[in-house]
Amino acid sequence: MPHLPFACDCLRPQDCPGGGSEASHGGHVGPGASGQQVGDGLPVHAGCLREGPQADVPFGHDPGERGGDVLNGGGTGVGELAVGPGFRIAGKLARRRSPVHATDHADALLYVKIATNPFTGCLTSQWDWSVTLSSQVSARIRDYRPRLPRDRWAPVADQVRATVAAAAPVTCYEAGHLLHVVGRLAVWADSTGLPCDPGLWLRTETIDAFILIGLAGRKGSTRQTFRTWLRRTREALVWVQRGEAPPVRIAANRRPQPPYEQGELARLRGWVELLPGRARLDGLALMALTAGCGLTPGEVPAVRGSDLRVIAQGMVVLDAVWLERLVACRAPWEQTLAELAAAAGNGYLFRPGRKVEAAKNLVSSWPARHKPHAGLPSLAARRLRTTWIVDLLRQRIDPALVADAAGMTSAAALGPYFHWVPPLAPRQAAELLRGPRP
Amino acid sequence: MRRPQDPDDPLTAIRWLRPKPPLSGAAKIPDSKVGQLLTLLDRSGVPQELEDLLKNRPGPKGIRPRVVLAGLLLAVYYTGRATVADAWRILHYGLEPRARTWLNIPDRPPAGPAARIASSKRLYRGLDTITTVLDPVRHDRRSRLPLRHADFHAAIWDSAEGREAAARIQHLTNRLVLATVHMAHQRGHLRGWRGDIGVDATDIRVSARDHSPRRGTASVEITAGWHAKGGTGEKVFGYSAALAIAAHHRDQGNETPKAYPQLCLGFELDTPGFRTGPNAITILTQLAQLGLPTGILAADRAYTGCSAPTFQTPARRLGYRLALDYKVKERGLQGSWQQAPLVDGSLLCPLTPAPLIHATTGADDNTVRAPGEQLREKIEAREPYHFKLKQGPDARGAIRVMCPASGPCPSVNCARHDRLHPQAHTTMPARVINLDTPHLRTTPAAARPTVHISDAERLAPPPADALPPACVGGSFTVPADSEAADWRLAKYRQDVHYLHTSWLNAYRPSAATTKGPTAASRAERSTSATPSTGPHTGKSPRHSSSPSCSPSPT
Repeated sequence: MPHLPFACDCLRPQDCPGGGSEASHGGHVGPGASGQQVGDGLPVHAGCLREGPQADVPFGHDPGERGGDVLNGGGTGVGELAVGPGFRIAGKLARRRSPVHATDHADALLYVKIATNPFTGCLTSQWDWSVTLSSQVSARIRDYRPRLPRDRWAPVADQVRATVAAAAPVTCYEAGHLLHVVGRLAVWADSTGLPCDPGLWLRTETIDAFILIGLAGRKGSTRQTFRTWLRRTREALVWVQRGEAPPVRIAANRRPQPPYEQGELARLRGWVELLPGRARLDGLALMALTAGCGLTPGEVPAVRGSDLRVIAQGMVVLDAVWLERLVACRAPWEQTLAELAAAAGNGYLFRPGRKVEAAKNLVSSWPARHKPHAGLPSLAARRLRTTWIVDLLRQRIDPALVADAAGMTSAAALGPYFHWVPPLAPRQAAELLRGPRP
Repeated sequence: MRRPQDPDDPLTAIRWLRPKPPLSGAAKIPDSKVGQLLTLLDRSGVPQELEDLLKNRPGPKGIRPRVVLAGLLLAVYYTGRATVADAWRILHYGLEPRARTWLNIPDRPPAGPAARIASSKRLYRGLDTITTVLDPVRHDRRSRLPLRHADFHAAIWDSAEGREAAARIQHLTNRLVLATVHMAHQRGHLRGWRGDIGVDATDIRVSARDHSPRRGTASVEITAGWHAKGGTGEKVFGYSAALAIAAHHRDQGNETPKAYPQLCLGFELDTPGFRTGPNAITILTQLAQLGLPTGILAADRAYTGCSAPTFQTPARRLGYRLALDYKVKERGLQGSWQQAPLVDGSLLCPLTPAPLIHATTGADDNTVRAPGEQLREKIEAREPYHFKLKQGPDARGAIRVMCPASGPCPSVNCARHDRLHPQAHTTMPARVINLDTPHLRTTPAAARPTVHISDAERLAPPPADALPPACVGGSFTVPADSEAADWRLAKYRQDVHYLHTSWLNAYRPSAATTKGPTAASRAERSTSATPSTGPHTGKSPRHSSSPSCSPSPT
């Protein structure tokens, strides 16, 4: 295992009492201990932050150096600072993960001590944070190995892992994604002669130059995504003003997948209806959840039969906790979805025979294996969702409502879809502009 | 019964002295070729100069130098050998009647052995006349001299009088070469040539043996020495010939260079290891008198090793830009000027990251010839940090360079420069860069590398006098001579960035074009050592073959 410069002991699962035993992807959520602060409305226990001076080794490599609430000396010379009393705050750091997974938490502990300079009388607050990642995330960071030559990755590996281990609890992105993009940034910076220092990598000008030069040739949207991840990583770690250059303004073309035509969608449904056995159920589930409910491809595999409720007049709603929004199925797909939910019970609606919760290409591999006959376009989850969005917009439903049901943060994200929405007829437009008669 | 080797036998004596006439009838040389070579000879002015030197010489006139040199030129051209016997054969048996009138050769070949010997001896005496007037210290070249005698003769060659005589010989030799350049220039053949030159020292092997300290005898070639080849380390006993070849550099736009003749622009023969730089400068000085353009001068490590006052500084003052190569120990950080580090011959920003400064430190020749991906990346990443040319060389060869963060097109972003040289604030709206545009018209500022200053400097900016003058001034003068500057700067600085694309585009074509004529020169020399079987017809004249027919310092 490579040495992590400031990794905690609890990165090793065996050191973590709850590490690896939690069924959910979430952190160590359990009954709270007395005398500790409770953050975010959650019951808290120390997790890896073991109580007592003997076991209280939140991080560091020498257990003898730290004990209880007594803080070790920080950066200034011995004798210059008179160390005053300190205090500590323990809690959980909540991080929003992808909708498939539950909200993750990382144990956090803050030590603060106040020191006084006897010569100047200035007070110095020394902060000492320790954040313990879950065993899964820790393993992901420890075992990460990029597809790069060893002589390129080895010089930066430790610092990349350290950076991601520090930034992962306070960003909403998966550690794997952060490792990939921070690793590429570090390797690029190393090739341009920059010293191996995360502080330099995470400067605005380095990130922007990497996006503009180091990722030249990649798709514009990919570069924008990478930049977003890097900037969030930077914001998580850099709290001070360092005289950095203002971030450059970039833009990239957004081209959503075009919607299916009305006839195409009906013929695709007819083709799926004729598929044998499990393939028919999976195909219908895919179409009903995307073209009927507008779920993203990442959300489709997580839907279980119990997440769907049939209410009055056959309306089927999807209001699972993890989805964090209310979605109602389109009327043409209601009956199909209700039947699928009844058949699935508590199991997954789409490809229930799988062994893992989510896998790469789980959705896209289904259309790859089931090709429709000639003359029909193949199924694509993104196109089905676009069809759902455009269909709602064509019916002049409030864009804010559509964006909310689609899981978008604002209606501005619907901009690229209006390309496929025809303008209103003049008479209809005039009536709308006139309004109802008083 | 007479013995065949009896010296008293007149027939044997004739056989020994014989200039053998062609057995199967001589091939006739067309008048046009004779006229062409005669024109070349006359335009070089060498015969006239030799006539001036022989003006006050007593005795009968004999064969004139023009005829001797013409015969030797024809012999080189048709047989590949510069021997008097070949020249005699060609002059008396190979010429058409019209060409004989140009050279005052009798209409008919000499009849009988006695006439042949007489005419041959006259030709030998004609050559002797030339060598006598050019040689400051004549000696018997039929046998090896004792070492002390040879040292005496060699010392005379090194005296002022000897150097003057050697310079005269080299000047005359080079005039034969420059005649072709002058004619090509007049006829417009050099229109496509932009003034780039590759200069190289090649070995001219002699058939004589080396000095033998054990026997106490010197070599017959008393001024010859050991020529060490830089690439292979092989040593050759003979002379070093400095050759200047017309070359070209490729442009960044991959434009094919315009056609130009691959001419030898100059030739100097000298003892190996001596006067390497001055010989090249002599060639370039004579070339400059023709009014030709000056471009990039590519020279190998033998010339980098010269002291700056003998090669680098005079070459710059003649208007050439240098492209040099370095030995292993010379690569990397070489010195500094105005506290800007001199790395591989180029001045870099004082804040250049250390891995880029030491990218080539200790790199061996194989690594540099075929750089790996990481070295190539570092070389490319080093490019924006180079100080940029602000003003070309003046009469003393000094140039002005400016900080890479200054000027209308800076190549790096530098917080120190922005603090020291604040610009007027512009209210231009921030530019939005579309990442999907394949080719941006101008490089955005964010795409430039940023020079990172230390946290201490950022938090507490030091006064200007505590910073490197290169950063404070923004631009400064880089002298070409070692008196005004550091000797390392004058010696190692070059005008294209080492191992960058610009250097490869300038150095590699020059090296390739120089290798051809030097190899041809060696081939000519080895051919002239072994008798040729027939005339070299149908080949163009090689200017680099002139060493064979030119008088050497010995």
